[in-house]
Amino acid sequence: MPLNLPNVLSLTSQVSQVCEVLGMDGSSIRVDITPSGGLSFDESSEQSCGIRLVRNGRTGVAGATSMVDTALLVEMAIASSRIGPEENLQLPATIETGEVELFDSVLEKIEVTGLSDRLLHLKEVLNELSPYAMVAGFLKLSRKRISLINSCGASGDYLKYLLEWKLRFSFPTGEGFFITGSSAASGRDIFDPESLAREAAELATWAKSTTTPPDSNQATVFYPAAVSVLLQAIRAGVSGRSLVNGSSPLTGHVGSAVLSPHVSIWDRPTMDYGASSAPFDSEGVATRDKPLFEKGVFKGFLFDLVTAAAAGTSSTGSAGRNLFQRPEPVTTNLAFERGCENAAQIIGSIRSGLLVTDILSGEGGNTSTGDFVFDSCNAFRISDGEVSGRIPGTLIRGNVYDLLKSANSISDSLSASGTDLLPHIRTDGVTIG
Amino acid sequence: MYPLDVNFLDSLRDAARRLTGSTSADFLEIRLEESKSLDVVYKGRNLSNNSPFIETGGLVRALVNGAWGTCSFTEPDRIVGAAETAVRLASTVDGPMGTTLPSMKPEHDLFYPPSIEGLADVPMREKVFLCRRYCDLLGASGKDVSAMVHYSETSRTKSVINSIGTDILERESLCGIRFEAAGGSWNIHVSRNLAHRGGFEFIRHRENIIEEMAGEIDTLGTAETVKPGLTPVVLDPELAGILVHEAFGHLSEADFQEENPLIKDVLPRGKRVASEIVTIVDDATHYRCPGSCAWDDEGTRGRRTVLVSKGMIVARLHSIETAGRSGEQLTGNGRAGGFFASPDPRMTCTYCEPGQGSMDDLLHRMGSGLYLRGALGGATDMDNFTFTSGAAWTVRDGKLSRPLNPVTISGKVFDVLGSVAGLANDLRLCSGIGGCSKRGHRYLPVSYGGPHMFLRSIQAG
Repeated sequence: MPLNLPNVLSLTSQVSQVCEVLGMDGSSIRVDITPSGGLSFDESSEQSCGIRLVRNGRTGVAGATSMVDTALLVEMAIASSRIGPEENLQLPATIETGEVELFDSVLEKIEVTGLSDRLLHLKEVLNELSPYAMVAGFLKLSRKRISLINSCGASGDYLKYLLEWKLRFSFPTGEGFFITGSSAASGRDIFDPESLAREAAELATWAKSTTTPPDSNQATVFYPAAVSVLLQAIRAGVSGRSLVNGSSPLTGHVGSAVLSPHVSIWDRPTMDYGASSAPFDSEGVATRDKPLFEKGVFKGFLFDLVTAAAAGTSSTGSAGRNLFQRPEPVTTNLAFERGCENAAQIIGSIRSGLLVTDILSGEGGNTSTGDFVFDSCNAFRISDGEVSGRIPGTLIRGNVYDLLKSANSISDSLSASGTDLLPHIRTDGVTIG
Repeated sequence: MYPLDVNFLDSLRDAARRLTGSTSADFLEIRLEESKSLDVVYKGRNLSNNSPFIETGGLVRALVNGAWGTCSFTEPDRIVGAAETAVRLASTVDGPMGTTLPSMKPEHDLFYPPSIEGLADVPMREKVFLCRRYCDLLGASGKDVSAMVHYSETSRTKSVINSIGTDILERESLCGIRFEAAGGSWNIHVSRNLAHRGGFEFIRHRENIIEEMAGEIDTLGTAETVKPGLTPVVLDPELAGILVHEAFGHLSEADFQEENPLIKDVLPRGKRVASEIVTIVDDATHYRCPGSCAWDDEGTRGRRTVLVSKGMIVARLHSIETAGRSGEQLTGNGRAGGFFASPDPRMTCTYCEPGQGSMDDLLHRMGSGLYLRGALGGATDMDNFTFTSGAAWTVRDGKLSRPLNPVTISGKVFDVLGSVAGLANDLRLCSGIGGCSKRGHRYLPVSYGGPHMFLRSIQAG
């Protein structure tokens, strides 16, 4: 029987001091393309629900998809609360929402053949640029209604459409093959086959020859996709959960210059059409855009209700949640402030250095300290302002905070990467080898 | 934790039989799943997560004129509509897409493997208290040690019914535990990650592991950082297994080869890709290993497939789709990362077969180099690979010498297996919580392993 949120709340309220119920009702259409140009089509629907309750002063959670009996779900949450943490949880009595355009209505009209046409056009454009290149991956349009009600009287819901893709391009080279990828998501149609094909083909042209790495500790330019991987440590470091647990390297540094003055980063949950945008967070607190770093100065942590209470402050509307877990503070859409030079100018300013376009995200990153060791799967040498060849199998190591502290140029344009808007960054804090 | 409601699935399976028996599609498959999961995370004295989750759903796959259409659902009354949608989507694709079915025969089975201590029979409270006890012991194992314990369990029932006549039901219980300890300034990081297919008895009495980790923390307090460069190494079975999984295993998945035809061209049958002492298998019949299965997610029996025999390629891993396209036989490797996902060719339990001699024999042969033990993880982009050891030592005159901080090794996928110069006789199969992710789908449980392995030369840094 499909889960009925008011019924779930009613039953849960009878056995708890306070409780909240978060529901998701969604559907999606998706088209996959294989390297040979074959297509497969998928539609899906999903209903799911998560409970959080406080009982005898302890918090419990449970989650399920729609086929589960309501009483069983509540029973699971009660069992969880018996050994759950004692938390100071004050749920809001009303849901006040931030102003945000969640999606472009154009997305509502896209059908599965519209997605397949876009992918076939991408393949066509790609093969005009590089006859033997291949593309594989998917393009997906999803629709979700998020609903939240709690025992204090708060109730709210919103509808989102999201267009997302994850693609892999393969180009034959003289020595084997070159692979690069693209992934992003947005509440509007930003899928641009010409631009995607052109960018991938440009990297493939650079990859036609291989070369040796420059000496260690030289200037390095990171592409947006590589910046996205590096930011994993920042995402963990600015979380109020890390502050409360004592594992954030930013503890005690609010108001301090910890990054380069060229670097300003915002968390933007009210970004129009942002992939992670929402009018309220998963606890019903209104979202708002917040500066995380302003000209290098750390402005503060992100909090949900529990971590805010533990830290003696207020929620920043940053609660994120998988339905089967407790909420925790998360970043949403990270956005840099634009710099002054375009990417070509930044590369052109380097006499000898490294260009990193993709990072192989293995287990080489320590999100507690920011230390990283990555095998940069796509790295190129820069000589006298020009890209002079691909460097196979190079290790790069460093510390994300040190790296962003030595950032000396941010590009004037931002690219969608995952849920973020990220620039090209030039820095000196990377060790090669 | 909570008993599985097989009656619920039974009603849906009846509907699935009717739909697959009367379909107009060339092939129709309905997979139904119900899984119950629990994750418990203790960080120091704080219970940071204890979340139970139940997930039920199904996926209908239809093949029409060589093209696939799929539709997933969570509401039981959607099953008929999902079947119609899958056929409609497959029919929407313009023109034949080239997928044909391999040779398949109908299979029937109900597989309910027993456990000594069923996961549903142990209260959540008891599991949480055991995690807390382990975390307390780990935290007390050294000065300024920060400890984390993560317990994870899943009980899953899957049903696969198709228009060929296959009708299988398999129940599985997986549980595992990961211990992590960081000493002092977080520069020392020691971890262990173990999992098995079976009951809660696997989680009990693991104090010996904590004792082992405490010894390692003491040792690593004086560790140096390795000087980057090319060096001979001896890998322990866990790291050897990661190497096989990352450096070769993914390449043997037939869809990766299809996506990268140049890989297929350089990996034809009979091609030498490793030294002649190397034989690599994927074997789903090690039933206590989480990666293994009696039946894959397409209703094909799990089996042992030799991928590399004495250094030469013998076979690839297939799903129904890739086996059909290639004209090769099914291998029972069609696995899906969630009820909503289509199966892809995925590894199960992949390992290098053992050789002769002992670990000490290999160290003696190597003379000087590195000994690497355990793994913090790894990844590959099909051309290069990288992974980081959990612990490392320099080796001098065939004996372990000075401890090192975790060492990251990397190299070209096609080169590393050719540099295997020795294999010990001590095969060990490993598994942990988490698993392997592909195409952005959920992590699938996998198992890996090997004997101690001597590599002539690898980039370490």
